[in-house]
Amino acid sequence: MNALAGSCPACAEPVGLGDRFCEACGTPLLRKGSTSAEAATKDVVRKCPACGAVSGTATEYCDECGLRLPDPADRTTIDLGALAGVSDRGLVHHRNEDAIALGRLLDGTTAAVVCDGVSTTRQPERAARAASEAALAVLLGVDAPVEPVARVRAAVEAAGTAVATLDGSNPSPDGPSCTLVAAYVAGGEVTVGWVGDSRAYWLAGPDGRLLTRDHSWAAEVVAEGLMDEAAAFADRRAHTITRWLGPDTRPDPDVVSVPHDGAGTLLVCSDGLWNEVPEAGRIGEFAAGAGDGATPLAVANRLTEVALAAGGRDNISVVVIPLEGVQV
Amino acid sequence: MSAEAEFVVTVDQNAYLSVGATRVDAVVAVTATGDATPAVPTAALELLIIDTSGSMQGDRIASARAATAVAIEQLRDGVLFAVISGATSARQVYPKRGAARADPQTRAEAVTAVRKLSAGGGTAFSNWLTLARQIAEQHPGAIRHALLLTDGQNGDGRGVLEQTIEECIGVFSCDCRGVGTDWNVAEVRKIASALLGTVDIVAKPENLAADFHAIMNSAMGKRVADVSLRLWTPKGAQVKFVKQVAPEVEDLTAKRVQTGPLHGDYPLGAWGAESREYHVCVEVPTQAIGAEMLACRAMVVRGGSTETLAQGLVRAVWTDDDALSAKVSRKVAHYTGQSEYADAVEHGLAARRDGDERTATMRLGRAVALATAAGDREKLEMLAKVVDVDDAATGTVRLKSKVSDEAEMELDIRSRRTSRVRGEG
Repeated sequence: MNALAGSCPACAEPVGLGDRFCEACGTPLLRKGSTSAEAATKDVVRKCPACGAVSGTATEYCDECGLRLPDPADRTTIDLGALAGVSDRGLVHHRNEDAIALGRLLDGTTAAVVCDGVSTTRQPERAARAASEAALAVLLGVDAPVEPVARVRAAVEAAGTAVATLDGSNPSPDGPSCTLVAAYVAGGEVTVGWVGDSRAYWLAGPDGRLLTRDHSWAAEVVAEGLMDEAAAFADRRAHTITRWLGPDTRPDPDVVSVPHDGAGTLLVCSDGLWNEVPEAGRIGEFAAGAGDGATPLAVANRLTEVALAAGGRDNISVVVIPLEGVQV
Repeated sequence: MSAEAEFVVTVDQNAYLSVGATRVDAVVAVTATGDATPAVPTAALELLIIDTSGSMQGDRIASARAATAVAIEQLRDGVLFAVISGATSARQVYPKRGAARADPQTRAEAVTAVRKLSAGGGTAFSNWLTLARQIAEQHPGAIRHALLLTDGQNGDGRGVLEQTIEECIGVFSCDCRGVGTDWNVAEVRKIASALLGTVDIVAKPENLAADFHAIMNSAMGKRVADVSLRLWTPKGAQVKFVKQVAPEVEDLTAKRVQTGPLHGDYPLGAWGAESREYHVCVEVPTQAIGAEMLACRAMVVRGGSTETLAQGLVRAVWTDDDALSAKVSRKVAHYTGQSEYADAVEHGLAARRDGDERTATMRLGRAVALATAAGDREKLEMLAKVVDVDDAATGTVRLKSKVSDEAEMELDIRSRRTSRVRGEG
């Protein structure tokens, strides 16, 4: 029997810690949202807003006038109250190849995943969506290991399998691939696992810091002391990623676990944000610009606007998780 | 398991257009990678048409006999073939009627028959092509290819050749080779262009065998008959031109066959494991800043089928950022220069033949400037045999007073051959 966590918001019967449904009335105790789930619920009638023609499902463009049809994934907004995420196409890329997935249990256990499709592969958005969905299912699932680091590793493993099997038994080397960063918050601890250059930050005024270390050419030459950061990031190869999830690779995540004392905000994001504003302190200032007492959604929107205003050269995804007073 | 070619279409372009702009340029590369096993997927028919007119007497007919024997030796087992000799009329050298199936015995018999060829009579291309067409028509569905060798000018009456070529379109493709310098480039090019083949000069008869070897190698490598480039363009848009730009410049614009309200097909002939590139220029209705449009969907289709084998998208995105819209795709710029070069050479040489020295100097000078900009040494060497160059960068030249026929023909024929360039990362 699970330890008691509180009562069901619908019928007030007591519910157990980690329960996904109220055993008395069946009300879901897990709230979640993702790019894939959003895309699936949006209008699938492909009627061109410009000329009115109805197009087939296989195209991104109107079959008559050629104008690009609005894509439900151009912007995803997920507001779970205590946390929120935004994923935006940006201003330059013609498709949003990022995906986000986030969720929260009644007991405060929270998880967020951001994936960034690798543009040089075919249909990378499929990888990002499948990986984020698969990772979230493990992070908030009932069967995964209880120990946070093991749970995050299991989530990355599941994401890797989901990506590798996208094309069935016929994977090709340029098949869909993506990066992944997954955050799991439970029991006063933040655990972050990642593959590639999507990041997690701890925003806490001047004490803000980057929690992840990119699996990228630039980060690796800096870590090995071969170049300083300025020179490394100026190099043409700077953003070449060195690890990813794809059909040709086994997931090889780094995982860190840090205790938190409830005085800051966890930010999970793709390089569409950090390329424009790399520094934790600066991101924190922009986030604070959303105003005192701003909701997580307002902060997520604010950070997205900052990246768009800076040029929006890539897809932008951010998930904002304030951690004041959530310890159990 | 199949020996089917797999097609890949890639598009090189700068999709960004400035406010009010309507012209979209892109280079569409079509590449097929075949199975390495030399299975015979589709029946193939090879027609060897050899000029045996009186002017071929001596070295030429001897070299033509030897080269034809080389070509016959290269026929894969199972390939259908026939050898035609052409003079004022055309006659079948081997087999007596229709086509033979290649095997050691038929190849040996054909070579024996070819050794007996002698030269005499006039030159009437239309009769040669008509006989080739009649044989080819008995084998619909096969990859049908002809190799035509000539050394002289056509003696057909006015308009007869054009009419005959028209009848052969879609029946077989034809590579043409001219030996010596007495033949007319424009006339032979007319055949090759319409029948999706190449033209080249073999100035020395002794080089003929090596050239035939290369042509047959390419012909025997074809795997898919009748491929077309299908261009879909949105309502209100128009294809301004479609040019093959690699390996050679060939304007396909007029070859369009309308196949739907918004798409038309451009026949490309048979394909092997090879890559060809096309410069597509589309005029689209302008849109608001930030709008994105599919300006053209470039598809590879099999002739007479609706199945798309591969496709690439040509996009247009309107922006007020001049830094984005001012860039020209490297490939588009490269091939624009290469086709301008071909025009400059052809017009320059035509003007020179007509005695219009001013135009000739200007156009050939432009060709020198373009070849210089492209860093194309091979082209500059050919030009240097026709003009004296004072300043290569600006294209300041003087016409040479003495130019060999061979140098002039070589420059003319090879003007359309392009060098390749890599696209943006």
